Amino acid sequence: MRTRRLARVLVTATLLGFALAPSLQTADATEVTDPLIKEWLEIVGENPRPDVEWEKKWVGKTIDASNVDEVKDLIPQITYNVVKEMGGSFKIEAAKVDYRPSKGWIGATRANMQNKPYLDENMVLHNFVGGCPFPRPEMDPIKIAWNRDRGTQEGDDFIYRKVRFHVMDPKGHGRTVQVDYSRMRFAYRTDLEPIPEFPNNTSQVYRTTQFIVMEPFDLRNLNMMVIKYKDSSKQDDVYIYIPTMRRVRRMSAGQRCDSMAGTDLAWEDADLYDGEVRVNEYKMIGKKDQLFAHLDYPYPEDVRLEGLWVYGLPYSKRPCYVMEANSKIPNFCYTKRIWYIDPVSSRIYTATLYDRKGRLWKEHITAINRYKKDPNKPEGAINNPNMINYVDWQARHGSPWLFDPPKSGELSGPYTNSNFDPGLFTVEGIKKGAH
Amino acid sequence: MKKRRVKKWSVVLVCMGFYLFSFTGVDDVHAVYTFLEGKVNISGFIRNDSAVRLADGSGAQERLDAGDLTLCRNTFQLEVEWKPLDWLKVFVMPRLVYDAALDLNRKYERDIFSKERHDFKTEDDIREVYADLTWGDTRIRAGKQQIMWGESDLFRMADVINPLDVSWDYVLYSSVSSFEDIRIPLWAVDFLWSQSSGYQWAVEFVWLPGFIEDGFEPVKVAPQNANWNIPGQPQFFIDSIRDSEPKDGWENSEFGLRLKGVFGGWDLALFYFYTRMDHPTPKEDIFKRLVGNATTNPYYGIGPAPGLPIYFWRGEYFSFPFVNKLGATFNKYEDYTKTIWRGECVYIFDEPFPDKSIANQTFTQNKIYEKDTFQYMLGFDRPTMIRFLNPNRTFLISMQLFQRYIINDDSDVYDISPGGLGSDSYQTLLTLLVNTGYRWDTINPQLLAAYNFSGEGYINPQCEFWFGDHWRVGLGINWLFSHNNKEPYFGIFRHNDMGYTWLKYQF
Repeated sequence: MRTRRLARVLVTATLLGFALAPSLQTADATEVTDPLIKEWLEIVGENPRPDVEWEKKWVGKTIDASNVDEVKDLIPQITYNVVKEMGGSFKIEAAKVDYRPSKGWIGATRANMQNKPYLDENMVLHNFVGGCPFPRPEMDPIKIAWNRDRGTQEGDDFIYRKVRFHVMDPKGHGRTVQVDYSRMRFAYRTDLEPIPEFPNNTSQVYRTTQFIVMEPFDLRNLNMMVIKYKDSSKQDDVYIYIPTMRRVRRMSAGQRCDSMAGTDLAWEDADLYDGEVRVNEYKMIGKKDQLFAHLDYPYPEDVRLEGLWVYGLPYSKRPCYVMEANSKIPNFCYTKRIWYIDPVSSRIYTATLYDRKGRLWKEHITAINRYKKDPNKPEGAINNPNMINYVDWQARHGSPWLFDPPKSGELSGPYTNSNFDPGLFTVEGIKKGAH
Repeated sequence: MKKRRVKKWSVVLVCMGFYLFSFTGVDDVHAVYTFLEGKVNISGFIRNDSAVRLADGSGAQERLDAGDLTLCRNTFQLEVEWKPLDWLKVFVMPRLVYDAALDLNRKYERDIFSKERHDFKTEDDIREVYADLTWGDTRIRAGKQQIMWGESDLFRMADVINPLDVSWDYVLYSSVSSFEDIRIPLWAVDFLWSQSSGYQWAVEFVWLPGFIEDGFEPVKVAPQNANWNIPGQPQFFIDSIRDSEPKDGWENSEFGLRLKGVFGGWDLALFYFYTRMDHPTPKEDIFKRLVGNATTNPYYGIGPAPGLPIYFWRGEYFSFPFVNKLGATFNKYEDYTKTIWRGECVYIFDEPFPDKSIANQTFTQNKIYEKDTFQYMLGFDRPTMIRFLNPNRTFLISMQLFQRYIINDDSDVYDISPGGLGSDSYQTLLTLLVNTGYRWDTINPQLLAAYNFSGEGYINPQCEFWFGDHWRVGLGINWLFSHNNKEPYFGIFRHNDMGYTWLKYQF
């Protein structure tokens, strides 16, 4: 009898164990112990708790055409279309905290809060001194847009080496473009000396971004450089080194809706939006839960590219701001963008874009790495995209990028706070490096 | 003869076949090959450029007819970058060229002297080779290189350092590759220092050491009876340009200095270049020299007048005098019109010009005048959405106005250089460039037009198609027009309308 009772207890305990396992696992994963993460969540007033019931049902499952309707409300339209009609799929995992700003960033944000930044009627930002301008934007879409512009911590410099765009149709026919993508802050620096700004920054440059095409041959060394200024009312400057001309040409901001080296993204779509805040009108749609992709680098083995879709990406459910950004520029290629923005990092996770006639056109889906401690860079371990998929739904075409696997000791992947030479981020710096 | 031609065509077809099929079986071909942990990068291309005349020739090209193959240029070019250290980069660009038209076109075979034909049809050269030493804000580039200054496209003004090779192409490559493939690289030391902050001051000092062999290179022109042979330039004349080149020596060194800065959104630069003229200037005693070199042997040269059995040997008839060029460039983005405005100007001190008697070969005065000249370019680039033509991409519309003046001109001066002023004291040119891209920039049409207000111009529509990472195919037409055959840019070639194609495999 005792043996039977013991067996019952054991069976019950085992069943309970199985039933509780996902929630226990989730709780472990989301438990915030890191003091910097805790401090940041307090500053932004966010407490992203997992939807335990939902995760209990879905974690570990693969979403494909057979069950995508059940999560339709949690994914943007083109993601739904690709999964439903073109065989795309993704798997669900438990939500995890992935954003850990540096001490310097948190300090700058606190200093900024004391300085009370504000926006004027032209959406121009004043009194900004660094970090995140509006850590608690209170559903104001313009403040959220400014947080996205200035408030996403990505290091005082970064470079993504060997980013390869796979410009192709659903059958995989097309071509590739490999770029090195780098950025450097000249002002509002938080991690690397000089802090907060380079001395003698006469031109009042905020940051400079470069896209250097490494392949194909006829675009090799093409280098586009975008300069943003501290004065947010000032137009960005854009320069492009054209290798066949062997000179740097200035480029009009109007050209930024042109395709970047023949890919499905416009120059302005880098990082999902690299344009100016004040050129759009904004409308808040709301705050809701959404499924977002994550991807670590080096990539897990099951990540593969096929047609327009990157398979093997884990998605998790998390809250986000959903807002519209409508271009005020006449004749601009996009009329409306819907941004899905992480309230903790202010990063756009997904953007859905509409053409001049208001028709659904493109979707840009980013997969951010998950935070993991890096003993070599205790201050620099921040989140960054390890894949962005640019899908043109109208043309059934896509340009997902992934890092090329490193070969024979070459550098590949994301590197932050490497302490670059600022001279590389000037017009003459481009000339020095090119032939 | 027929057998030989079949053989030559077979060689070309085999070469083309090799281009087409040698790589197609390889699935995983990288666009750029890397070695030694990424320290060595090798890329390059194999390319065929072919051109066919669309009109019967006249003047210097009177022996050529519509349908003649005038170019079948096969190029193999490698670009090797080696970065052994953070502060050192070595770049080498070897180029092999074989222009099969020189063998396939029987008129070329018949009419171009064999030595010139051989020189003209092949090239095996280390086109560029240099080392970059970089430390701090300074970079020194030493070696054979191209140095590009200025803001203008299609016509050169501040781009004063490298001369051009217009022997096999006069207009085609200026539109296809913006002079990169027809600039003649020179041995030079290019010192560049720039500031990363402040006004982003940059100082560039260029030294072309004259003592290096071939340290000075004049413009390279086409041989007699070739498609782009300039009227009035028989072979002895062209050979004499080479004979007249200055001897190598320190005194032939050329120097340039450029200062640049960014001021309130204006990119401004000032430059100075002390250089020899790239185009030959007749010597004042050219008539005496010609008479001294007269012969009745018709192998070299032409008669001074139709019907006279007198010919001239090659000789040192020309000089390449030093001049001082002082100039400035600017560009500025203007937000209201979403337009880039750019411009440049050059003042040349004591530019040499022959008098009219030398130009029209009557040799009654034989004087060389030294005149100051001033030229400027104003242009704009505006991306414009023309939705009914291309809903997804802007058209780049770029226009430029060029003007050139001889200061204190008198009527006796005659500018004989190609694209020169002729007997005019000023010149006004207008250019238009329109391009866009379709289907993810795999179809790239472009329209180029230039008009000289003296009554000449050209129109050049072309389109390049991209296939995957490696293949590029293009085609285009050059239509040159002029009210006479004396106008300096296109009039002298007004019957050289061409249809052309290119096929390229790149890696």
